[in-house]
Amino acid sequence: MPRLAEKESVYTMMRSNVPRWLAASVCLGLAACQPAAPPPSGGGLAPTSAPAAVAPAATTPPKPATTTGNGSGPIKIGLVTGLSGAYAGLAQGQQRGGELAIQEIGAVLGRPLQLIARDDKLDPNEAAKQTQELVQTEQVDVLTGCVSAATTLAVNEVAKRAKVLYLGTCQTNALNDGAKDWSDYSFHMALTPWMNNQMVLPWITQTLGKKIYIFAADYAWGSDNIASITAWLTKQGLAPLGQSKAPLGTKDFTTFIPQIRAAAPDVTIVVNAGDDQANFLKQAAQFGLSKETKLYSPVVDVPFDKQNVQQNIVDHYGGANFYFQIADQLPSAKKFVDAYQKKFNEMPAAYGSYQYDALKVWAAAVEKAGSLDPAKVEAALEGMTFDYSSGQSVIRKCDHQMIHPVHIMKGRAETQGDSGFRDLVISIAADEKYERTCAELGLGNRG
Amino acid sequence: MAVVLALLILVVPEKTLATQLLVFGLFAMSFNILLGYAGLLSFGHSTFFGLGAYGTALVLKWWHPHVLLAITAGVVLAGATALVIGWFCLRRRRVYFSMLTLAFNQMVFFILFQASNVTGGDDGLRGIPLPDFEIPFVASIPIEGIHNPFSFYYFVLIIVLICLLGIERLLSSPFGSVLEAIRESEERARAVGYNTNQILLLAFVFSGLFAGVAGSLYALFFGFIGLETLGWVTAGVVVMMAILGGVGTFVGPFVGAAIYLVLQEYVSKYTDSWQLYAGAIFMACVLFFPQGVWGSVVRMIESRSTGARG
Amino acid sequence: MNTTLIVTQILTGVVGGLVYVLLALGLTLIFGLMRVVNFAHGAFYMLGAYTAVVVVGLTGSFWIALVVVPIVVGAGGLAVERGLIRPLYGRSDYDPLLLTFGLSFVLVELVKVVFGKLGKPFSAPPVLADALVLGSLYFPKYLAFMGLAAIVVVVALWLFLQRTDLGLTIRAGTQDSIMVRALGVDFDRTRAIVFALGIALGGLAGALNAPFAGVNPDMGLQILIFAFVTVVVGGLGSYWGAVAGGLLIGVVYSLTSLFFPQFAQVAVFSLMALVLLVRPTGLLGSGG
Repeated sequence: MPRLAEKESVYTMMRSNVPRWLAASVCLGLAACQPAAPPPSGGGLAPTSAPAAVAPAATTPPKPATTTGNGSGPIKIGLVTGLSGAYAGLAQGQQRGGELAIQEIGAVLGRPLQLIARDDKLDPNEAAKQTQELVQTEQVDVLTGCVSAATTLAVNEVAKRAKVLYLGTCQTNALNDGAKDWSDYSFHMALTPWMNNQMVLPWITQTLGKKIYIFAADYAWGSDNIASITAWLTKQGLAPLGQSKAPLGTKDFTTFIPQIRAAAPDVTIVVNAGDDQANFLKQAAQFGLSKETKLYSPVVDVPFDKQNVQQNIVDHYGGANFYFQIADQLPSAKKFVDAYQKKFNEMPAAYGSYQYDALKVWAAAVEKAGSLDPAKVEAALEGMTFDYSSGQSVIRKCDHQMIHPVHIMKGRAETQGDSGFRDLVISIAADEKYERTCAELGLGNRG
Repeated sequence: MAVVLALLILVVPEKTLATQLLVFGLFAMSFNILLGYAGLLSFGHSTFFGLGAYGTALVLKWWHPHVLLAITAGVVLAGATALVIGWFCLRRRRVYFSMLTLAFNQMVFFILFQASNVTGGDDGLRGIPLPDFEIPFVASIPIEGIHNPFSFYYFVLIIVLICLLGIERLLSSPFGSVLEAIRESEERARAVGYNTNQILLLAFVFSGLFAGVAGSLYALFFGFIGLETLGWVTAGVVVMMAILGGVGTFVGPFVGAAIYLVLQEYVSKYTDSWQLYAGAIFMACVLFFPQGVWGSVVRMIESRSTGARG
Repeated sequence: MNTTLIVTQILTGVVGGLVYVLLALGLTLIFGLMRVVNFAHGAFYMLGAYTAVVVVGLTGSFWIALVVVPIVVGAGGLAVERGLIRPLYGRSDYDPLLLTFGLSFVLVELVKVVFGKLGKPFSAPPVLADALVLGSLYFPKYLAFMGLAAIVVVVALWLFLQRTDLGLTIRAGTQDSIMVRALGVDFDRTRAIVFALGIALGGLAGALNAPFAGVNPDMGLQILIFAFVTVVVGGLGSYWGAVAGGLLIGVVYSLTSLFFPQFAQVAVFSLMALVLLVRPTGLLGSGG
């Protein structure tokens, strides 16, 4: 029968005598096909900017690059983030924030800066691999970037081993936790889910209501948010009205919304982001949930809102480390927004701000330390205060955690202009009291 | 082949890629025990790869034993799970078997995901130390990957070569012959008197064991394992690798893994849509080169050397 | 936990399940006649949603989209069958499965290149935008519409298979394709039509579900797995098995979402494993 013969011809080769040198030459051929060195920035998505800057800097004028100074060649900054995949827009904003920063900085210790971006495809294993390659092949002087908690911890792990400073620029509770991922090389240049919620809950319970239902996706970030909210409520003698977690990857929340509605909360805190946030808001509107309860999301951002229609965002509250509307109130934000808009022809978003701040403060620390030695830069970074794009912030000494403001944004009835989805409601100033104490994080001895 | 692989790291600029090539090559070979030799398509093979990784990592993290002991622990975990899952999945054949492997893979994934206190959940397992390789009374060789890429590569290479030898011995033995007989026609094999279920289960366990070795080695790379190591994406990738290389030859899946990884590394530097090209090449393989890239090459060489094809 | 909530949950489960039914029917028809496991089915579901976005963008009418989508996507299915699946007949069982597996990647990446990686907003038509309110029961009108539309399709398709000549050929071909060919029927044509029909069903499901589930490149993957689970649970090749399976999965998922939300997904997988182990031909399937 024809079928069997066909199958046979594929499998009989298993018994054949294949000269092993043939396998050898294939492998060698593959190896030889690789270019001598990888292209400078991964993905070819955005060119690395030229070091000598022309744009106006935030505080100090850019230093011209000179050939004097320790070490030769540019100082290399490795950026590992999700350039492809669902959060590509956020990652691009992050990369751009970084590029704007190094353009404004110009040079550090007399050497120009070079940003080398690599794609982690939102996979922590890939992130670890890219980081290892950056360290081994490119020999970067500092690492930064991330859009997902899992990848940031992967990069951090490799950075620790390689003894290279890492500035993590996305949310996680673990990077400043002495019992978990903290190390002398780890710096968390973003809000933690813990801090983020502690800062906004007083306002939420005062203004929106005390009966709170928490809905999250079932993964680390979701659970971290729930933990923070529940802890705060317990301290006030309150309790969440209810909570539920959807399996990771759920896009259709139709089976989860009726129970939220049935609980009749004042406020529903919806812990998700991106596509999922847009989907939830849409489905909530269709189930009439948005009319019955106030909706609050711990993180909102321009790219998320762009995926949605304004009518689903109306009256939706959300927290942001940065949203460009704050430029109306904050001079540093205005400078950042203007410079970013001029260079990239679009509004900057949250991740751009995080990355911009991270590189600017790092550069300042290196200048202060007078060296790239990680221990010296670490010491210089500890306790540094700054306000580059979204309000007065400080890097706490004991756990290298950035203490940062949160701005609460509310969805408008109509989009005003390009990306004008929201209004600023209130800005909550940075304060160490909102984050877990050094002792709680196992770093009490670092004061 | 051993010589080539030994020289590989000197040629390849990206050492991590070279080492990954070894590990995934072994993984694909283990997978092919099931697909190529037994005729069973498993959509959940990452279960054993991942369990090997997590087993080794947890042992290293909590007990700091000799690295070989840790690897053994991971492999034992993978093999034991393969025994249990294989027993269930082999109640059925063909598509139903495949779906069962997928279902069990998802269940194991879910368990490890929920046990985040132990495994780190979706944040991944961090802080995996890699102690120096101790040869008692002789030397203590550092093999940690970042600072000693060459030692690490050769350490992995030696283990992979041993495993490849093991797989080769297994498949060219009478056991291998019976396996292929079952693949061709299970009824006939049974009629002749073989307990096909038992043999297939044994193959499943061996396949799981070797996948576990690959996973154990993978855990040593970065000091970190992501949960996706035992997810359905990894399971799908190994299927692609094997088919790409050619399931009808011994070495094919290894070559397939190499092709896939190299493609991924270099195409993704120029475009976001590298999976488009990978998928297209894969489809072309299924349509025009069912023997896979390596299989087609071998066939070409053979037909040249033997003249007309029989 | 009041009764209204449970009733709502069951209703959302039924409607969600009907989407799985539409997908499962497509899968089961294709498998029944052609012995092809179509891994690209989720990708065609996604293409159906994107086609709806394009059509609504061009014509402004959701209703036109509902009519156009199955035709366009079905035509795509015809092309795929002709060019990619037909060469594989007579080869191993696994080949079409693997081919469609690769095809799913290609289709998803193409959509990402053309439409971008992020989703597209897509809303229900204004006439169906609000909800039915019966006492304390609050049920979105669109979901009710979606459920009814799906039921209509299921019944219409059944009648087509039972009452028309082509339907007869298809049913006969499912049972004994060699005999059908021996009787002089152009089996190639039948296969092409069945494949196109199955794909069209998938595309329609995508368009129907788009106002609720959203439109993004990865939407097909998650739902494909559930569609497979449905087919396996109901019985590969069984029409009413696909229907029963889909409704069962939908309701199981929905009720688990209510009582043990984190476990909703794994509950569905466990159910499938259980069925496969206890009754491998599925609930309503006949000898595999």
